[in-house]
Amino acid sequence: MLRASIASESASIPSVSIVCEGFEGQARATARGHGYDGLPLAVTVGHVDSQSADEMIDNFVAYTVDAIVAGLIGADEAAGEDNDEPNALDIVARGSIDEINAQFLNEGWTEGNPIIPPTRERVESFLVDSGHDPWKLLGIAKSSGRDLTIWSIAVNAVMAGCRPEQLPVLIALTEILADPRYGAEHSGNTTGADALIVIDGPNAANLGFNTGPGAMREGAHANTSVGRWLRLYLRNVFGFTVSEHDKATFGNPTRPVLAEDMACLAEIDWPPLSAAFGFGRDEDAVSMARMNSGTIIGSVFGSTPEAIVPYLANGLTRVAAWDLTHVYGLGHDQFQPLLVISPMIARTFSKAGWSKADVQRALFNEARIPAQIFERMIGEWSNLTAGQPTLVDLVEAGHLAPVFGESDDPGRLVPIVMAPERLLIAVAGDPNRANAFALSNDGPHGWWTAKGIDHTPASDLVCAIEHPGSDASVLRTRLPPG
Amino acid sequence: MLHNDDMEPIYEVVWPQSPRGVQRHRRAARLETLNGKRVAFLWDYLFRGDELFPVLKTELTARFADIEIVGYEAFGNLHGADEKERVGRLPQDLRDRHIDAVVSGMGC
Repeated sequence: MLRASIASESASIPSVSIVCEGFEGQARATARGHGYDGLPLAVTVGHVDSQSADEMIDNFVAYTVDAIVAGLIGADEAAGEDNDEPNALDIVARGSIDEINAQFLNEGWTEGNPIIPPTRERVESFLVDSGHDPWKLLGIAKSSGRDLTIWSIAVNAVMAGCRPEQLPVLIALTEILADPRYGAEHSGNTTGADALIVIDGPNAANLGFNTGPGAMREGAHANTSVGRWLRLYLRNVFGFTVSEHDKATFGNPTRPVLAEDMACLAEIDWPPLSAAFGFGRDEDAVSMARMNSGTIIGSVFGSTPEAIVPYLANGLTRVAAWDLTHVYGLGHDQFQPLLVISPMIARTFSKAGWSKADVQRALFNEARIPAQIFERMIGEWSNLTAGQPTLVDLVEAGHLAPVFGESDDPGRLVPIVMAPERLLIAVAGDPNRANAFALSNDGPHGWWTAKGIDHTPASDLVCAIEHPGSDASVLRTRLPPG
Repeated sequence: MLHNDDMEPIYEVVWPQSPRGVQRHRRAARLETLNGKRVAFLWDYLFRGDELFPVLKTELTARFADIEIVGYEAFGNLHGADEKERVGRLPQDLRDRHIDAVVSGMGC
């Protein structure tokens, strides 16, 4: 709700924001990230969700109302802190590799694993063949207000152990983070989803991404280091640390990149995941969403689609819980779970002549849950959908498709998504095993967004292009603006 | 690269964060009183605001007899799928409604 207060302040209308105890730091960081230091807060005693009505109201009247009044009337305060932060090229630490790692850990600049020290020379070397202007601005991090520059991408890439040829992938991921549809500013919400990156396209394998056994586990350098870069970039540039924007109650481990098995997809003539977001089969692309939870669908037994669809559909229903509020509530038609199937399962469908769309339709018809459970998940049990409406109410209001309200029987079975194409499918993993993995997404809080990967060297640094034999010193001629 | 006495490399490293390029703003001027002012409630339709905002209206009206409250219903749900559009329209919407101050919740 800080964003609503900021909108009010931008119209020269004073605001005060009610936040629960424990959320003050995130609120102040969000305001600062939008250029508004020191917006007033009115804090509740504890979190409202676990209090009785009487307890909550007594606390509110005794403690919070005064803060609301004080936030709106009274003397104006001076603007916030002065900027005493380093410049991009400043040396911020000097020492042995142990000393550098200790200082970075102490500053909150790593997630706990050792880093490659980002010396200026290493960062320049990472960038020199790319042709990119290090100070090119790709956007502003919505949460922190920090610049999304090629330089900042490269510094964190060096730390994560990425290789220069992966820079186009990192740039595409930064473009996703800068895209308002993704909603990167929600990356610290309390339910603690974390991003899953999916890469596909003809050149993914050339970049060293593992598509086979252990496809979602650390072990292959490209998958692991690019996944780690995202974690570091979210910490260091977007400010998702516990002292600023990260309010995850639990969170997930960093996810390695999931790379689709393009050879299998070509063999069975199925489009990759990125096709769902408008990319062609001949294009390299990354797709990304924040995922709440996942479950393995193990040992899928059966030689026909009809035999295996019920089990796969059951797996999807098992990751469809409170996040159903993204069908309607916190989101609207933004629940798009991902089903990762191994090539062996994909071939079972293909041998029977099923397209990916055929599989999606079958899963949509089979992945159903009792209406009463759906309503409890988004209403009674989580209180995440205002007014706790029934599905019939939502159909009558035009928010849901008629299939959700075909009767008022609380035991009737209803879908978990609005339409078949909302059930996303990717193909990866050990080609000789029949397993699948279902993951639920966090709706608008890191919504599925895809960007193309442009491997073409940039022409920002004409001098670098004109002198292909030049070394990293070329970049020293370009200091950061300002 | 430098070395220490044990010939271990000494690294000089750059900052992994990035300058805060966002434009800084002064917050709006505060009011002298809420009497005679139109105060808007803005809600994200989460975390029991439907129980607390009516209480707040009663409390503010008791303290400032001439206050006018514009309820959250006038602005709709400011979180979720339509958040960007609704929040984007908010400055003009507040001006059009001649709002003097805003109470926004619930950040929980």
